[in-house]
Order: sequence, then structure tokens, then C-alpha cells
Amino acid sequence: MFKTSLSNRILTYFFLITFSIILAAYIVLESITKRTFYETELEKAKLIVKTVTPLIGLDLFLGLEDNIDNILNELIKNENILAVTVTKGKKVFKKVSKNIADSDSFIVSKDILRPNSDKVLGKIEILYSSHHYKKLVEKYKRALYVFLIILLIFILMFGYYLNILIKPLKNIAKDLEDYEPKNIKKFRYSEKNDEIGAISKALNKMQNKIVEYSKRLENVNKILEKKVEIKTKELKEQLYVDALTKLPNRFSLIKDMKKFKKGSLIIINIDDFKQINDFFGHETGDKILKGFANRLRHLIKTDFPKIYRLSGDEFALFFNKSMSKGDLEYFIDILLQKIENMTFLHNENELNIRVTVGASTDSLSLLEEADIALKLARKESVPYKIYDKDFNIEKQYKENMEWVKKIKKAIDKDRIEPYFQPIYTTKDFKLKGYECLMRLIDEDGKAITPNFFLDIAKKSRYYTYLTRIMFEKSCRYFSKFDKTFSINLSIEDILNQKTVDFIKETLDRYDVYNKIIFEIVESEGIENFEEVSIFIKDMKRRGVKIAIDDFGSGYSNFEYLAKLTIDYIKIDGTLIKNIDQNRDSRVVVETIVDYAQKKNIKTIAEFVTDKKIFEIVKDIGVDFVQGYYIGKPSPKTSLDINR
Amino acid sequence: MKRVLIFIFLTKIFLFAYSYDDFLLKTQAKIYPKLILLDKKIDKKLIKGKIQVGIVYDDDDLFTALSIKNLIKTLYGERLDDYSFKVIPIDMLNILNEKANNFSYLYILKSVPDRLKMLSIYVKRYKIVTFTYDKNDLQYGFLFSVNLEKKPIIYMNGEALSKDFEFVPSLFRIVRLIGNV
Repeated sequence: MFKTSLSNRILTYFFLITFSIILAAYIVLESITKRTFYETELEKAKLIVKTVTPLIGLDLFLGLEDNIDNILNELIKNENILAVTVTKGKKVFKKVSKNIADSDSFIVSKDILRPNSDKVLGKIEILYSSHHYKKLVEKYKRALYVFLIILLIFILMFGYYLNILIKPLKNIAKDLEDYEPKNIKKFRYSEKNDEIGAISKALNKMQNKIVEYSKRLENVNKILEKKVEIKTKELKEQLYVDALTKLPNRFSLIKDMKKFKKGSLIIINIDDFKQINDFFGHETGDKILKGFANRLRHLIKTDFPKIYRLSGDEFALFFNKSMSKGDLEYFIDILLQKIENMTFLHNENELNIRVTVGASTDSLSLLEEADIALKLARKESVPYKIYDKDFNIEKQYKENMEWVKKIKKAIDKDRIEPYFQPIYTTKDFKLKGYECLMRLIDEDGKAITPNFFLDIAKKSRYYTYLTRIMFEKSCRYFSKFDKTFSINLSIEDILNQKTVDFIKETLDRYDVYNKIIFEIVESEGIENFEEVSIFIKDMKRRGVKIAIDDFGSGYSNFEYLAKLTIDYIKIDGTLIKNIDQNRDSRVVVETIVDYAQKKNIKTIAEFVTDKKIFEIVKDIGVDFVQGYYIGKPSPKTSLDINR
Repeated sequence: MKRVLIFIFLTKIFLFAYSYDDFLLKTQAKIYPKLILLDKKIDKKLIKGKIQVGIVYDDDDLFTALSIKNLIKTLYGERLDDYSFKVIPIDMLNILNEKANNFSYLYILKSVPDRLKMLSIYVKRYKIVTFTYDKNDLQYGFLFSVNLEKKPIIYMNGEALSKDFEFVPSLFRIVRLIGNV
């Protein structure tokens, strides 16, 4: 409706309120005054009647008619009295009137009482003109209009004056709207001695402070910008430089590879560096890494190739131009020779390192390909590999994907089944129990052993389902028979709390605590000793038996074995299957059996494929045997047949 | 002889009686009782429960007094408003010799000054409201008199007013006040 500035609002509200008051005053005054005027005239008429009535009453009583005539004649002289009538009984006794037509009048009447008595002698009526009242009202209205006009003029003048008073505030506000700290301006009205002058002076002072503050802020900003610039540079360096060796890091390599598009890459991995850290500590490990980085720097000297540290024990050399495979092989050969000759001192002991190298050239995926080549070199235990499309890596990936699909389908269609392989006593060749082995039944009904899919399953999210299905079905099956059964548990199962909870719940449900044997692979147990130890203690407390599987396959650790309260040692099949030909295998098996007997641990030999092997293990003193000679894994057992 | 005596008596009366204006007498007979009703202390002035008005005359005005009595009786009867009303003619000498007063209001006809003076003393003593035939007699200290001029005028002797007399206020607006002179 109007601009919402303070001055406009003050003026608008001032006028609104003033006009409202004037209007209200006009209405009220007019109403009250008119009524007052009317009542005044009425009172006057009544007073006249009241005054003359006793006299007329007396004259009427005394019969002095002349006096009455005189009184009436006097009354009629009054300009407001139009007629006077005196009635005696019902008859008009006296009447005087004027010949003036005035319709606007009122009548005032009063009973005429006899003097000194309440007796009514007659009645007097006065016809009183409203003319005077109207004249009064007219006069009053004129006066009121004049007053209102004068008041209006005063209000308008005051409003105008108010506007003049407020105008400086508007101007100051406008100045403030356009204000910028850089453009110094003098605010108007500072010479005034009133509040506006005070505001203007205050604004001028404030402006000076702002200018001063802005200058200081500008200086601070410049300093901060410089600091930020330095810090950014530092952070960039940190981002792209390895803190330990001061070599460019993986990010720097990726950046460079993007920059040059094509080139050649060599990844150098220090073999068994973990062992160095374990044996000599991380401080020594770091020293060796730093030393290795420095030696590489000295060795290469230029930025062709550029040296990078990718991660803990991995370094990279990047050529920003593509090299031929032959040149690359030649370079790697020399590099490996130089590295083999590197010697690092630790507490006056000489330490040598060996490396494995993966390389790739002329590709858009240098890093990935060099990494694949490195893994392949490590897998094949060769010093280096240069990536070649013939590695069939893609084929392997495809096969893996196919297996994941098969696993999923088998789970959905309930085609994961336990197969049971019998375990016999060597002494009297009696059935001791069964080992439950997982089989995936394919669409043709063919049972597939876990060797084909278990590693892939462990990398997918389906592994826990496989464990649970196996465990559930095995427990359900053996809950009906009074025979022991063993189930393989991997470290993944033991470390997965949900799987452990499922195991406990299933054991409770089928109540097979005293029949079940958990087989834990020796090497996995050593790597996660603490967790495995806690799990074994918990299960043994519940009555479950524990077997160490594949014992003797790696660095068999008897100390570790002693710490775990186990019930069975399952001797690794690689030792058993050649025991009739390999003297060393026999010695190892004899040592294990000897140890187990002393520790009161029962031993099981697997891979017993013929009678000869059976006889040997029996001769050595192995307690139980398992293998094709004893019985193949089958979905049914003799327990079903004898049932 | 009897006829001679009556003749002599009547002749004496007619020869020695004052002359009165009949119209004035009628006017006064009409107005004076009404003036009595304007007395605000009328209830205190009742004698034996009546308004007793004496018409004081000299020996020779007995007939005038009687005719006035008859006029008043004709106009008002025996009741004046709500009061019993009695008009009694009384000889001047008799009233002066009365040991007790029997009137609250006196209508005084013409008389000699000495008697009027004596009567004036009498009425003051007994606080009697007085009306005179002749307005000139007000000079002796009587209160009201009605005289016919262009119209009937009620005169009142202001000096004769005492605190014992109290009339309706409007009366004072129509009377013509005079002094004892």
C-alpha cells in the first residue's frame, strides 16, 4: 500500500490517527451538542411554564383574569413562544397565539394548581418554537467546521513539518544504502546539534573505524593468503610425495600416467618384507626401505624412468615413453642384478633383499597390467614377468564369475549337500565316524568338490551360506545316529560372529555336542591364534572335540599345538599318500604320532588309498584312518543302510 | 309607637351609616375568602375547627355587615374549601372589649381613626389577618385591601407583615405593597 520506511509509516499513522480522532470527535460532539441544545431549549420552555404557572394559578384562583391576560401577552412576546393556551376543566379559558407558520416546534404543558393546594384548576400549554434551537445548531456547525478546517490545516502543516524533520533520516538511509567501505563519504547533517546530527557524527566515526579495520583486515588477508599458499604447496607435496622415502607416491604416478598417456611401468616388490619387519622390527624395515629408495635414486639418477613408492614394500619405475618388450627385459635384468648386489647393514650384520618384478608397456592400463604381471611372477616364483595378453586373465575372471553364478543357483535350488567319508580305527578296523565334505551338485547331478569353487566362494558373499547349509544338514543327519562326525571350519567361519552364533544355535537345536568334531586347518590357526584359541575353549566347554587338519603341510608348530587343548591331529594327506615311497614323509609322520601319543592326542591319517599305506600307518601307531581304501565320500552312509 | 321607633331607628341608620360601593363590596366578598386560603398557616388559625371570619363594623353599618355576610355565604356557603367556614358580624366596640379572641380573620369596614387604631393594636396582639374595605385604612396597620381601579388591585401593607403571617409566594408577585403612611 505504501513504502514501509519508518518515516512513511510515522506520517501515515499520524494522519490516520489524527483523522480518526477528528472524525470521532465530530460525530460525538455533533450528537451530544445537538441533544444538549435541544434539552436546553426544552428546559427554557419548561422554566417559563414553571415560572408563570403559579401566577396564572393564583390569578385564576382569585378570578383576576386581567392579570392572566397580561401574563399571556407578556409570554407571547417571547420570540420562541408561538402560542399559549390556558384551559379550565376541558374548556379553553385563555389563548394567545402568533400568526407565524412554524411547523418545527414542541409543546410544553403543566397543570395549574390552586395556590396552597394540590387541586388542579386547569392546564397551561406553550407551543415552543425550535427555531432558536436550529439557529444554535447551525451556529455550532459553522463553528465546528471552521474549527475542523483550521485543525486540518494545522495537521497538514504539522505533517509537512514532520516530513521535513524525517527527511534527513531518509537521506542518511539512502547514503547508507550506497555505502561501500572503499568509497569514503562524509555523511550529511553532522553540523546539526540534534539527534540526526548525533547519528551522522556517529556514522562518520564508524566509517573511519571501518576503513581502519578494513585496512588491517586486508593486511591480515594478504598474510593469510600467503600462508595458505605455502600450506597448500606443502599439502600438495604431501599428497604426491611419500613421507618416508621422499619419493613421489602412487597419486603422483597416476597423475604422471594421465599426463603422458602411454609409457612403460615396472613394479618392484621386495620379497618377504613382512619377515624383515617381524624379525628386525619396523624401524629397521623403514631404514631398509629408505636405503632401497636411495640406492634406486643413485642407480637411475635421471627422471627416465621416474621412481615412485606405491605402498609398503612396492616401488615403481615409470618410463614416459613406450619401450619395447625387449628393451624392458634388458632393463629389468640389469636392475635385478644391481638389486641382488645391494647390501644393507643392520647391527653389523649384512642383509640382502630379493625382489619380484611385474611390468607392462605400451598400454592404457599400465598399473593394472603391471600388477597382474607381478602377481603372476610371484605365483610362478619367477624374478619377473612382463604383461602379455596371453596370460588369459580375462578368461579366469569369466570362469570365476560363472562359478559365483553356479554357487548362487545351487544355494537357491538347495543343491549344496554333505558327503560323508568314513573314518575307521586302525587297531580293529571298526567304523569310528565320518567326515562331512561339501559337494555342489550341478544341473546334471554331478557332485563337484570344493577344490573348484571354495576359494571363489570365500571371495563372494555366499561363503557363509555354504557353511551354514553344510553345518545344518550335517548336524541334522547325525542327530539321528550315535556316531561322531567332523566338519571343516575355516578361519573365516571362526572370525564371523554371526556364523559362530549360528553354529551354537544349531548345536543346541540338534544336541550333537558330544558327537561333533571341528576340523581347523593348522596354518590358519597359527595366523589367528588368539581368536582360534578363544573359539576352541568355548566349544570344548560345551563338549565339542577339536581336530587340527592338514597337520604337517607347512611349518608344523608343536609349541602352538601345545597351547591349544586339542583332541585330534589329522596328518596332512601329502605326507600319507607317498609314505610308502618317501622316507622323509614317514619320519615326519612318526614324529607327529610320537608327539601326539605323548600328549594323549589321537591321530588320523587321511589319503589312505591302499592296503600298503594302511599297514604302514597302522604300524606307525596312527589311531584312525580315512581314504579311498577305507571308503569314498558318499551322500549316504552305512548308518542309513543298517537303520 | 312601635312603628315610630322602627322608623327612628332606621332613619338613624340611614342618616349616620357610611356609604359603601356595592361592586367593591361584592369584589371584596369574593376575593377575601380566597386570600384566606392562601394563608399557609391556616390550620393553626382554626378556631374550634372552623375558619371564623369576623366582619367588624361601627354601630351604623350593621346592615352592610349583614349584607356582606350574606354575599359570602351565597358565594361559598358554610365551607371554604375543606374547612368549616363561619362569618360573624361583630361590633367594633364589642370586639375591642372582648377578653378573648374568637377570630383568625377580620374584615374591617369603615370606622373612625381612633377605633381603627385601637383595633389595630388588638389584631396585632392576637395576630389576626385583616382585610379592610377602605385601602386607606391600611395605614393603621391592617394587612390586605382590595380596591377597584381599572381592574381589582390587591394591596398589602408590607409593614403589617410579621413572621407569623405566611402566604403563598406567588401572592407577593400580584399584590401592590404599600407602607403604613
